[in-house]
Parts: sequence; C-alpha cells; structure tokens
Amino acid sequence: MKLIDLNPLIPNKIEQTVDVPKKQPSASDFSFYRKLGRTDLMVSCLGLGGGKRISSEDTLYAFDRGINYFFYSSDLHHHLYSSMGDALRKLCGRGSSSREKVVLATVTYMVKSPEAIVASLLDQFIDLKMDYIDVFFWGWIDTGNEAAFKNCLSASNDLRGPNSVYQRTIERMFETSERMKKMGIVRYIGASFHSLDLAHQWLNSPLLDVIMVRHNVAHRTAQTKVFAKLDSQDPQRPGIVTFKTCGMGSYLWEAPPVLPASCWIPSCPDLYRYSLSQNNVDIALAGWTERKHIDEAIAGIEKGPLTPEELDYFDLYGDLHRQRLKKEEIPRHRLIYHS
Amino acid sequence: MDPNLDFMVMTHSTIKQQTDTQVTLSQLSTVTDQKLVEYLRYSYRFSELTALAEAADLVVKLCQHYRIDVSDEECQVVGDRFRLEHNLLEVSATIQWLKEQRITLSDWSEGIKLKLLEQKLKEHLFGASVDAHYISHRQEYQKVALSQILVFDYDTALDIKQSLLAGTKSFCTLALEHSKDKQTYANGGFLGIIYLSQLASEVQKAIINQPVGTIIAPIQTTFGYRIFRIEKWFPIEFKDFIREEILETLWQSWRKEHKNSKLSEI
Repeated sequence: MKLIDLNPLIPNKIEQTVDVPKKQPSASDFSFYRKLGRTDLMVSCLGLGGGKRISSEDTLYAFDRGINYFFYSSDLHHHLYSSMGDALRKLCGRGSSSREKVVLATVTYMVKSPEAIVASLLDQFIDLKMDYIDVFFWGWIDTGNEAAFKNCLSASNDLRGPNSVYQRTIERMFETSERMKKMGIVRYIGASFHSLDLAHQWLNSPLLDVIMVRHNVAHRTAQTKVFAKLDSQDPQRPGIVTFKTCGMGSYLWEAPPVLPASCWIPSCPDLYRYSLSQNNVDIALAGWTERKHIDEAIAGIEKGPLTPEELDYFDLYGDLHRQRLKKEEIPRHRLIYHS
Repeated sequence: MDPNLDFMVMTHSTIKQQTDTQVTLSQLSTVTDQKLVEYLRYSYRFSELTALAEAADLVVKLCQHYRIDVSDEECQVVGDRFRLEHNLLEVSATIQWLKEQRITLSDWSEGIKLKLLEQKLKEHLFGASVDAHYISHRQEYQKVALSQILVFDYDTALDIKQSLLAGTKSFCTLALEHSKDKQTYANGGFLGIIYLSQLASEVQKAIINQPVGTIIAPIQTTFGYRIFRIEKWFPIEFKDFIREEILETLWQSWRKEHKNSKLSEI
C-alpha cells in the first residue's frame, strides 16, 4: 500500500448527472429546464412518453431539440413503447456518452408486490441494455390496487441509490458496470396516480420522489387536490409530472360544439402551457407521434405561461368540453377571440 | 525529573520500589512482543485469540480454494478511506499511528487484505441467498415499536382495554398499576423495537397493518393476557449493518457445520 498525503473528506454526494442543457429557449418566462422537485434531476418541462408509438428517429430528434425526459413502459403497452426503444438504447444503453444528458423514467403496471420487482427490473434492463433508471414509476395507482401499491412503495429504500439489495440482485443476473455501481439501478421512485385522492394522500411520503397525475383544462381536480397542497418554495416537495394534458377520451384541441365562433381553440402546445402554468407542475408529458408535434410544442412553450385571463378562459373552455354549461349560460366576458 | 512525574512516582510506591527511580513511566510501559504473548497467556485470552487466528487462516485457505482475491487497488481504497475517517491525512500522522499500533505498513496492508478477503468470502458463500431471502421474506424484516401490559385474567385485561379506549388513564399508568411482566413494567410497558418475526404468530396477525396508536387486546399467550399498543412502524429496509450481521451469523454457522469437512468436500 502507498502512503501519500490525503485531502480532507468531502461529503459524498452524487453529482448532478444531467448535463447543462444544450437548449435554452428565449423570450419566455418558462424555465424550459427545471429541477424535478426534490430530486437532483434537471428536466425539460416537456417530456416524451412512448405510448403513441413515436419512432426512434423522432425520439432522437426530440432529444436533439432539448427534450431530456423520456417515459417508457416495458410491460403494459410495451408494443407501443417499443418503437422508441432503439433511441433509448442509444441514449441510455451501456457506454452511451449521452447517458448523463437524459432523464429516463420507466414504469411498471404489472408488478403488485416487492417480491416481483426483480423480474420487472430485469425485463427493463434486458430491454434497454442500460446501467440505471432515473425514475422508476409504479403505474396506474387507483383504489383497487392501493394495498399492493403501499406494499410496493415500502421497498423504495431497497430500490433507490447505490448498493441496494435489488441492485446486487440485478448485478448477479445482468452483470454490473461502473455506472451502475455509482448510481444504483434506480435513482428515484415515482408513482402514476389515476386516483387523485391517493395522490393527495401520498404527497408527502419520503418513499415517493415524483408524482404523476392526469391533468388538463377539462379535468382540473389535480389543481386543488395535488398542486395546491404543495409549497413551491419547499425544496423537499416531490416532483410533479402531468399527463393526458391534451385530453382523455376527447380531443381537447377540437372545439366543443357550444363554443362561440371565432373563440380561441387551444392547440396541444397551448394545452401543455396550461398545465405548466399551474403551480408546482414540473413536466407535462406529451405523446407526440411525429417531429412536427415536437417543434410545435417547443415553439408553444417559448410563448411562456398563460396569463390569468387566459387561464380563466381555458377553464371555461374545459367546462364547455365537459358540457357543464349550456350555450346561453356562457359568460361572454370570459371568452377570448382569435382571428 | 518532571515534578508531576515525580509526584506520580512518589504516590505509586509499589512501582517505585520495584524500579529504578530514574526511569520514566512511559519507559516502564515498554513491552516486547514476547512479554505481550506472555500477558495474553496468563490473562486467559490466548485461546480466544487463537480461535481468531485460526478463523483468519481458514479465510485465506478458503479464498484460495474459491479463487477469491483482493487487488492492491482495493486495499488502497480501504486504507485511504480508513485514514480519511480517522483524520490520518498526512503521511507523518499515519506513520505515527502505525508506530502506536506496533505494526508496519506491510502488517496494516495484510490486515486490510484479510478483512477484504473475509468480506468477499462471506459474499461468495451467502450474499445471493441473503439478498434473495430478504426479497422473498421482507415482512419478516418489518420492525415495530410496541408497548404491552400483561395480566393473568381476561376480565382485568378487558377492563384495561376499556380504560385505554375511554382515555381515562394512560398506557404507562395502567402498565405500572397492573402489568405482571417484569421486563416492561419498569419502562411503563414499553416493550421496545422488535422485528415482527420475533412475535408469536397470533400477535403478528393481530397487529399487522394496524395504524399507530391502535390498542390490540386482549391476546392470550402462555403467560396470560396481553394488551398491546402500536407505538411506531418502521419502514422495511435492508440496511448494510443488518446484512453484515446476517452474513456473520451464517459464516459462524457454516464454520461449525464444516468443522470436520475437507476442503475438497466443501
């Protein structure tokens, strides 16, 4: 053994691993990149989910345009997500020079107990040939699977960070790497809630780092049950991701029948802006299918947050989509017209 | 002579009688390796240390058998970490520390290597099974803080439960008034933080998934009727020190089991 003078010990904190973003849109009050809640992850405010079969070429295009948050499923609807697989293997696979520039979120919908996690993780590691996952999500959390979710969430501390019991198990099956050793196989835990009451219940859990909820102009309950319950100044608040921003079941970018003529019909990028204009929302997850959508979304974000008047109009627009008002009940002073 | 030392020497008359008055106490404490061995013999610690030395020898032989090795780099990392943690940053401080330990740099390196070999051996023999057992039996690692009151008859147990539910008396007060359990009586009924698996199955079943503050009662056990209160649930987590304890236990059992085995039979 060699003896040389040593420097004092500096607290061992995992470095910020997402590189300084290459793109910083201008003329916007939106911060295109933001810290994802209490995590150390810097994420683009628009994320790309693969559930609409986006191609790998277009996924790489999104990355080139500055999108760094990617959401992927290895079990439910894998046949849809798999078309972005090649891109994620290129960006996040072993030896990739881009890995630290990407925030990879994966989800499992099938695992119902901590015992079954290993199989799901192994599937994901074999599928994407990667070293680690940034955010591992429990998917589709509803009252029907609440007990299983609680049980699974109890394994958070065994999943997160380096040298976890699940990491050692995966290493024995999948071979380790320096990156895996350093980062662990999973950095943070997330949950995608379909029940907003459950999302509210788990908001302050130390076992949960990122919360994903459905939110759009027509379904705004998350604003009161989730977003409003968080303190935007609290560095320990969980990260918030919204999905179904452009509609669930209906196409919100299409005018509701009762909308007066010449009124503003929000585009998908406007609908992302609506979600991102809410307090504490970090990411609006998008289901783009082609690169034109990516360009439009980024251009939309560059317009910045909606004004209070615009937000009020969008609320009304959402209510009209839900048929909450008859044509004669529409308060004209809240309407915004676009030529 | 240092006046303080002079005082010490004066007060320790027995030492003074046996030694040259010109010799300092620090000089008196110089012990050769030979004397150290003698001390261990007559203080009855020789067998204990012999067992440790045998265990170390076994580790080395088993590592050779399983082709487990430790690199110089691994030793260096552990050595540097030790120096950082013990504020031995400068070479001179480390050399002084080695001197105080009466070992050379080479001895220290060998010691580190042996510890690493032992860790790797335990990992090789039991690591996978320990992790797999944990993943498959996580509930057994669930910890809970419990309080309890033990009484001999059912009616008293029911009365205590009613008092607790009505909030007329605290758990601690009732434990001090009624509990027949010597261990927890003095602590106002606090049983401690225990693994769920340490509890009798009927107690486990009764408390699992119950929220903090729940009164569980009365449960009949061998010694009487018990009233429990759940004070706190702890998240299940496989902390390193717990894992190391399990690996050590398995290693000790393995050694006993294979005491008379030949290497070729292992």
